[in-house]
Amino acid sequence: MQRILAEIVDVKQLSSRKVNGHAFSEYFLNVKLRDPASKGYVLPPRVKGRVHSIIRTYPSLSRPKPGDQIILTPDEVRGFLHSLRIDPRIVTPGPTEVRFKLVLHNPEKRRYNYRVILPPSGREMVGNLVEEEEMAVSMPRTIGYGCHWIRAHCESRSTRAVIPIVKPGRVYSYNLDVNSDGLEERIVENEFLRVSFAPHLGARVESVWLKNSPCDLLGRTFEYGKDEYVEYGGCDDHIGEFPGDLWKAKFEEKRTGSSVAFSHSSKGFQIDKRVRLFPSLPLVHHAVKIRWKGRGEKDILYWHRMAMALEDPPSASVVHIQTEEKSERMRHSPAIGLRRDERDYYGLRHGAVIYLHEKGKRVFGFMTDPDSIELLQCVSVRGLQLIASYFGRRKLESHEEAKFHYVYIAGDDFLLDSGSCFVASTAPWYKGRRYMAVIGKTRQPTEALEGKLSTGESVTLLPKRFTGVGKLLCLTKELRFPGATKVTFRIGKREHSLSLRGA
Amino acid sequence: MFDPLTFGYEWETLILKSNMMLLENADVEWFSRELRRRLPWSRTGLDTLRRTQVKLLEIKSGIMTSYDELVERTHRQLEEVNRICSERQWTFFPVGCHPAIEGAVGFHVHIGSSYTHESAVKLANRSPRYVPALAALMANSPIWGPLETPGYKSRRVLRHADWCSAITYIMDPDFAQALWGHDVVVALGLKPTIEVRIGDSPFSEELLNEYTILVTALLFSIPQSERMTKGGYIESIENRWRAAKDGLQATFSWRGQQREAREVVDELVEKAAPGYRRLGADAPKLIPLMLEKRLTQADLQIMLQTANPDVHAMARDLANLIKDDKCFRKFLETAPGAGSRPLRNVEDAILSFIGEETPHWHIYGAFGFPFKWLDNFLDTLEKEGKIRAEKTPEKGVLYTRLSH
Repeated sequence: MQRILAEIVDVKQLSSRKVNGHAFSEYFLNVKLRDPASKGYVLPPRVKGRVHSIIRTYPSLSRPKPGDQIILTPDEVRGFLHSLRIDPRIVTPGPTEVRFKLVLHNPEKRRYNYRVILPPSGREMVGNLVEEEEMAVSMPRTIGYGCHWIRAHCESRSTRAVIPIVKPGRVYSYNLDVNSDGLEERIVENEFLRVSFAPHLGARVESVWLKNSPCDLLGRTFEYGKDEYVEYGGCDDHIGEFPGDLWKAKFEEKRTGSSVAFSHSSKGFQIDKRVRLFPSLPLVHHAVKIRWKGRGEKDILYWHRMAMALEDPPSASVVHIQTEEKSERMRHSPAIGLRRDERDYYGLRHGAVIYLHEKGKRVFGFMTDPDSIELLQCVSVRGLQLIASYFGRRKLESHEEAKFHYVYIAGDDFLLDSGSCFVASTAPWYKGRRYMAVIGKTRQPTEALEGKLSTGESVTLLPKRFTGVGKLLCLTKELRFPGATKVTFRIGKREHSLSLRGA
Repeated sequence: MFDPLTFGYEWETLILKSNMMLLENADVEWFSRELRRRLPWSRTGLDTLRRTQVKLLEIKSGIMTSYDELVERTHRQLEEVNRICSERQWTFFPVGCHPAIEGAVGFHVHIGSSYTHESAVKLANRSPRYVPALAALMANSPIWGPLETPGYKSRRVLRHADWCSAITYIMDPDFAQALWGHDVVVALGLKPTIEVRIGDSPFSEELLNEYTILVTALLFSIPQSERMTKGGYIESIENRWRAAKDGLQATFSWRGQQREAREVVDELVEKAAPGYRRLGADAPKLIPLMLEKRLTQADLQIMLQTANPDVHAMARDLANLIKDDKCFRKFLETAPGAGSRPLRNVEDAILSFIGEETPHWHIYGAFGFPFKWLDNFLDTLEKEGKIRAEKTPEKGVLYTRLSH
């Protein structure tokens, strides 16, 4: 979502029209790109000083002139950075076909020839295009698992998009500028989740897609922060004051299989983040290591902020928290009028918090070792619900390091009470099968949990240890039917049941 | 307190970089010192954009006694502000709210000097009736950041200017204490005046002058015999919300009758006639044009946003446009007139605000009705089966809407 400050170089009036009695005119503008519209944004290389053409509408009262400064909107910037693009950039295949649009930024409205090369055989489609064309392409039944790339060419421009068909039990990763801001995101996905990271925005987790919904569980907004316009959202890290605004710190990146590792060093600190999406589980594990390399003692307070997307109505977005004392809910309600943003703090009994989209029944769970987390802060703001997990304050001696670990788990249903926290999830139906998973923790001294599906099949949740998070009970199972189902298991004397969405 | 009849204004304004971002505080501080250096009579200082804690340039007129003096002072300050901005390549942006950044930016008029606080308190008690019409006239904050849904002409008034212009409390003079941050306050400290804080910051110099004179003349002209009644107070709170919603297109409930906001403003201009005479002011020229078309500066902003919905980009377009100080008059002269909105039912608005487990405090905070009135209304809704109330020890009463 880049915005760029630009200066009008020349203006040509195109047409005039009236809307609700007000006269508007359309102008063809050539503008010279100057700087990011906010110091927090990062411009891709070789952008500054270039000339871009746009068409804009102005009221007749406000005629643009050469020399005027304007701010290009994200759409206008996208037209410059990706003058040809396939929309969406990540294409989800339907049962028999894939649908996408080929979009051309073309203020001169000329007709151009295009060529689209389709996977897996390299079949070509040709035609001509003025602005955008929606295409529905039949998928061959034989298309196999893998990341299949669609490529398109038009004049001297080219673009690509991906059709990821994930083989169960595998994790795929690739780079793609998903939001068309000129900077590539890193994407990892398994059959349950698609997670994207933005190395240029503090190596934050930018989105967590639950693939059977499909929707992004994280929210993003653009607001004026302390002293600049910031991209607010996704999940980002904070270490007290170090090292300034982490959200725009530059991170080095290294990718190995299902993990992405980021590292950043400044002001005597070294921060290393390693994020891993587990195969066959809707679970993302984070390991954060902070090392103080300076002299003397350094005090740090690590906290991780998660900006959760809202449902419609926003009050259907609820944070569920189990404190030592009781079960709490914080329903989204942004400040208006005399009221200011209210924030509440909670202790966590299980080191777990659940964010629920009540209407869509989508669950985002955060879990960590309850001994490592001090408290959780929740606040409703407009456009988002923010959950911040505060880990224990640490004093680091020179060359000492602190480690923090936590996981995200996403799914369809959850259980959270004084004894347990579980999340159940399903993957999309593909090629006559799909997968389900249940992950959680219980305070009962148990090594495994026996359960049953509503179809009568028996299932077992087996223990798996996650560094810094502890023992979680996990189950992954293939389902050969598309309908909704339930999984029931007994913890102590109580029986619990979780619903799994139909395909 | 009006002998002599003195007045002045505090005009909160934003000084921005060319990318429409806020300046560093040190730069705004320098700006205010520089303006006072160039115009030693100017009382210009600083205020704060609450949400960001960044400094606003508060252009202050100092004490004035006549319309001519007002016009001269406003023009000279504005000229100098534009000159400094041009020298430093900064952007002068006097609007009720920066469309992309949010936060309340107001225009405050100080009237008289209060030597006996009792009379000032009595006058402040009589003022809420007139406040909605002034809010409607000055509406200039329709866009409050990228996340607010459209539909209000003055977000600043709706949001009580971030606690800096809330509904005026009616005070018993026998028990009155110092209060700050109301639409009309008995100001103490270095400015012992009656301060009218309801107006959004204007970008039209002509409107600024006419509004300042109208407010001053009106407060001077309100008869001492007027008393605020309970019904009148509730009506004023309802009308304040209607003014925030529709600006000059609003219909008010006025002494039990439905009246267009523009008729009420017109009546206030007539009522203020003794004050106009005292200040040597002619009848306003721009305000009648606004009333005729039912258009405010907010409508100009909304028109710009129609062409460019991106609030950040639109803010830049607005800054380019308002470099021409006559742009608002040109807008009024060329734009088609707007129709009036039917009387809006505030009770429906309260009901629609109630969602799932909405705390009582949130409902109060959004509308600002006296507790007794609000509680009676909520009880009625509950009896009618439209809402459900649940008492919780920690959060008080939570309301859930049952009907849609």
